Amino acid sequence: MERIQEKLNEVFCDVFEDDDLVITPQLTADEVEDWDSLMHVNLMVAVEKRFGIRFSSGEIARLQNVGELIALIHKKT
Amino acid sequence: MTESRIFTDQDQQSFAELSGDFNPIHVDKKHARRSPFGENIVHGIHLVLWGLETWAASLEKAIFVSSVKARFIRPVRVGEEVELGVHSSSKDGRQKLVLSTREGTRAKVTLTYEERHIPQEETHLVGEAPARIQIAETPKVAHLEGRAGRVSLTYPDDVLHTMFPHTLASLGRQFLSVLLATTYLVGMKCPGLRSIYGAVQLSFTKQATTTASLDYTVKNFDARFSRLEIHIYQTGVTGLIEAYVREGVVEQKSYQALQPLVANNAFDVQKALVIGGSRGIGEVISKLLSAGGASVMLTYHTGEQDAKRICEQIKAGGGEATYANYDVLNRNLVAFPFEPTHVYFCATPAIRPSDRAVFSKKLFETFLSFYVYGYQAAIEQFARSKLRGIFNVSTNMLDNYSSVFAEYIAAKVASESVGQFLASTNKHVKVYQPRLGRVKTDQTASLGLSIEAEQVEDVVLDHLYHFQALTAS
Repeated sequence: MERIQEKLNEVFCDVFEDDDLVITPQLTADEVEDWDSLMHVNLMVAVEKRFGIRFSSGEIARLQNVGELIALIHKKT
Repeated sequence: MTESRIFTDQDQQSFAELSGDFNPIHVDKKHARRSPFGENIVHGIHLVLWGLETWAASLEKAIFVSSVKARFIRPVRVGEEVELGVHSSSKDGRQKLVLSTREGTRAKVTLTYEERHIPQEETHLVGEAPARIQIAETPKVAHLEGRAGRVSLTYPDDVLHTMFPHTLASLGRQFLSVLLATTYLVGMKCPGLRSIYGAVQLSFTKQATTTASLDYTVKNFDARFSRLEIHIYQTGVTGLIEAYVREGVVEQKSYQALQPLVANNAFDVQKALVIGGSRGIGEVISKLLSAGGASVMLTYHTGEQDAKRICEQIKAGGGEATYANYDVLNRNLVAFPFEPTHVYFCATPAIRPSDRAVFSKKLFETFLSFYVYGYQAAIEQFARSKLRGIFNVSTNMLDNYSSVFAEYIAAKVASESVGQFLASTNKHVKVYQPRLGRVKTDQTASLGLSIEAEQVEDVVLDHLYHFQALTAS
């Protein structure tokens, strides 16, 4: 899971163009500037490409925070 | 460096004439009203070019741009002030531009470049602006993947010199032409009418293009998000555009389709005034009340054709309905020969979120102008001795808080307080303010990412029955 979080952090930095961004399991969209619906789509697409996985619409809609995203990635990898 | 600008209707028209991108979301107010944005928005590429033009004015030499990336985060509305921030990189040859409004970041542009020594001959790119074409209706999603075509790269030299002289001189004609062509491609051809331009990445080589056109192919369409990846290519340039397909105007069910849902005398004691009855929740309420035997007057602000269509539909089905113009903000109604027994307040501005980090005073005041001042003034104007009930559409977001809609929720809280005040000062009037869940209207139309919304009639009808019973007691 730690390795997933590290890799996921790189994806976040790339998508939000912010090399200083540090993710935590508790992090939510409310706390990151520019993380709205379109950016969320870009983030999900980037995560899928980076980890070689695919999410369903339902799985994406149910995510509440980064911790749940990490768990979902772990489940699919 | 910071600069600011307000894009006007004339700016929109000039850019549309140059680029050929006449997508109505940019130039047609009536169309924009029925979109999720509520108002005309500035072309994303126009924002980028304004930013580049401002920065290029400071360059002392011509440059070769090897790559450019632009991302459009939120739209800028026509008439809204946008600020350009130019962020110099510690690395030579990289430049970042950020375009923001008071409510937050709107677009980011990153360039990689080097000094250009050899002037490029690009006269083959001089020509007419793209001919005004019928905008392509967005194809059915099944037909998007693999879609391919070609757009022109020629633009009139004099107009480029007038609008983007520094970009033309310093960054080059090919660079400028390719960026312009992408907005025409997305806005007019693919996805066309219901497009949202999300981002573009372009890479240039020093091999000059010899053809005055740009080819494109839709390489990937993701139905989960209504998201397209469009590859663009020509000698000297390759690129990737991210675009989205937004939902079209949300049509509510016809009067004929709604009639069977309502007992035909359920509301026959009512003379119902529906403020904001020309679309969305107000439209459906008007139809349901008429189907139940009410005599309905519905008001519109700019949607006269919609109001007329609804009333004609109701009359054709045997119901009783008329319409009148009423501006909730200016309260312009002079003579109003209709004394309602029941008033339904459904008027609303575009319901949109603001940026998370900032509570927008301007956005909050817009909501207050409708939900508090407009609501209170409308009731005062129409409250006569015959008034029995006031129905004020509220939202279940008051029970399920989201900071994304902080301003909207705060204004609705205030609106409900106004309703309580009206109830306390008009003892013979019942005030009912149901907190409705998410329903399918222009306000909630969005991208494909599954956001549950119910049909308006499924949510509203029980509340109408309840309100009728409340006012009968």
